[in-house]
Amino acid sequence: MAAVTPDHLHDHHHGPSGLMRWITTTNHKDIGTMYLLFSFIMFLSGGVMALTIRAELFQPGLQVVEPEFFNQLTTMHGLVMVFGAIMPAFVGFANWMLPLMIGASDMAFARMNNWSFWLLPVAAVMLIGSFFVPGGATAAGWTLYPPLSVQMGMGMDLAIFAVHIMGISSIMGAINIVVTILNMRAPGMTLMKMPLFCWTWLITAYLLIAVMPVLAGAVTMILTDRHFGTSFFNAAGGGDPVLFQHIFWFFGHPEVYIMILPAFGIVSQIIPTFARKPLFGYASMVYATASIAVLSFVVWAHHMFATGMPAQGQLFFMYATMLIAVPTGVKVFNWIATMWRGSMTFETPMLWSVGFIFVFTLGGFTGLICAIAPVDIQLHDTYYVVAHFHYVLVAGSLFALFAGAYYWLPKWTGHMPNETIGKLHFWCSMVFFNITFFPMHFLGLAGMPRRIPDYALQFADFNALATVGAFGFGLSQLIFIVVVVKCVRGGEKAAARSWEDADGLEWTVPSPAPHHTFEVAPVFK
Amino acid sequence: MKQPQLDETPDEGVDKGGKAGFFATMKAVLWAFAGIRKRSDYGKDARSLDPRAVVVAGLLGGIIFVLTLVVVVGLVVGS
Repeated sequence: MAAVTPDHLHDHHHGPSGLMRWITTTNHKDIGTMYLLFSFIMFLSGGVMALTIRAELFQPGLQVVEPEFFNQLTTMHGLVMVFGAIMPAFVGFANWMLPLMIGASDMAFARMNNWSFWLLPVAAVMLIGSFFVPGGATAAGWTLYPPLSVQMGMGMDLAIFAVHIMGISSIMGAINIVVTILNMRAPGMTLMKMPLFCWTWLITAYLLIAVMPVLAGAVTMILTDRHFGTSFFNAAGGGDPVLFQHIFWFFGHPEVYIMILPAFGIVSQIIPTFARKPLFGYASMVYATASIAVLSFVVWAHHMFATGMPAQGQLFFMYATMLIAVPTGVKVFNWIATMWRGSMTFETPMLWSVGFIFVFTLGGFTGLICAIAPVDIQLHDTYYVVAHFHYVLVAGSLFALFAGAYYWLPKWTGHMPNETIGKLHFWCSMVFFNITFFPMHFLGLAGMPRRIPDYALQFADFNALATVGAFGFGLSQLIFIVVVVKCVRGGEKAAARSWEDADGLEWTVPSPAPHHTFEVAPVFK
Repeated sequence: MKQPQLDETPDEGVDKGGKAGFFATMKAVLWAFAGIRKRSDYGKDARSLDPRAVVVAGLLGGIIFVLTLVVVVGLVVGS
């Protein structure tokens, strides 16, 4: 399907070396690498917070941390994982792969790309550093609901500014991605011939541009409520705390899709390769992605059923939410239809992708259950919700990220990842993930509230089990470090087309991809 | 609304200049809401749809979607 004209492939780097290379780089591959490293460091940081939370919850009573610190941990775990780990990881993939997939020499705004990245460590330092200021980090929950967020100490201000900075970074990254995809595709690559990963990122980028300013507005109003005498969210001053929830979730629900659509894209690249069949229903995949994106703007209040709203409102948001299952179901159907009667092999990326479909779909179904307003009133703020969104974000986004990492590691490093260790990583993650989060469904159904450091005795067994699973899951992620280090240092040489049936322009350049690729645009047929 | 057709790929709503009409655009967008589209229809869409028209049609489709749900909700609550 794809052909490439002779290209000037430069494997060398011009300009400063050492640390300055990374600080001043405008190369999409360097910046992609930095995004991926950054997000993995944040993933480990958020993971340590999660394990501290689980250690505290291993037994009823307070053993490990103070309740105030526990609340800081739950809040920061969410913020770090969402804004520091998952989102930058997908931007890292976009930086590395989009230009290679569409035959562009780099991202459209290469210097802005550098700035987009380097804002992130600054935000991360502010966010993590807030643990060490008087009063500690924000403990209002990652959703930053007032009145708590109006009452917190200066850790809250640091979080607000960190969110601002990460938001600016995301918007710049998104603009870069839109412009790159729309203007820099190789001759012959029409939009409808674009790899699905590019499509999902194009739509995600539009979502980012639409909703990150909304979040910035919401946290700015909190900031002015805190310091400048406004009362947007203060009932005593004529404001309304529920207003914040509406604004936040108008950002927050599209944000959910920002974190999952690129995952859909990655999986849609991998499954055809290892099923040795073209993606079933490419067109419907594109349409379903666009549909999910549009619908994501009209379902936000399903996060707020418990705030009390008229029956009409509850029914509207309930129906709209349940209808999102249609395009999502189309996607799952298409992945399965792609595998149907395919010559399947289960290399590590495929294992992660199949695992993604299985476990993400479970998370989707529990989402449907939460969408039913009368059920949600019961489940709101329980561990059922915690189970649901971890099934979507860990088994969804994270599993797809690992799938993508194993799939493109040969292109990044020039060596094939070790299959045995990679599969060990997958199976350990899969088993421990379910040990950790499946019992949380039962805990939620039994009424255990989320965000509490202590709980009633009847929840003890499932909590102990979840903690064991969480430590297993956390330690399993260290296996990934082993795979990556081994892959960088050596191993089986990767061919340009590293996987037998891989399709796309990225597989026409050598592995590892030279520093400069597609300086002469390839012709795509 | 029947409009002139492309020579090799006949499709209603597509004229010889390759620009899709209002109904063809709306039809594509409404199929998108279900997330389903035949590959051949999709190919024609990609050749003939004006991206700006698709964005407008998408917003219009979103409004229709919301209003439909409001009507359904009204019927359910009223009954």
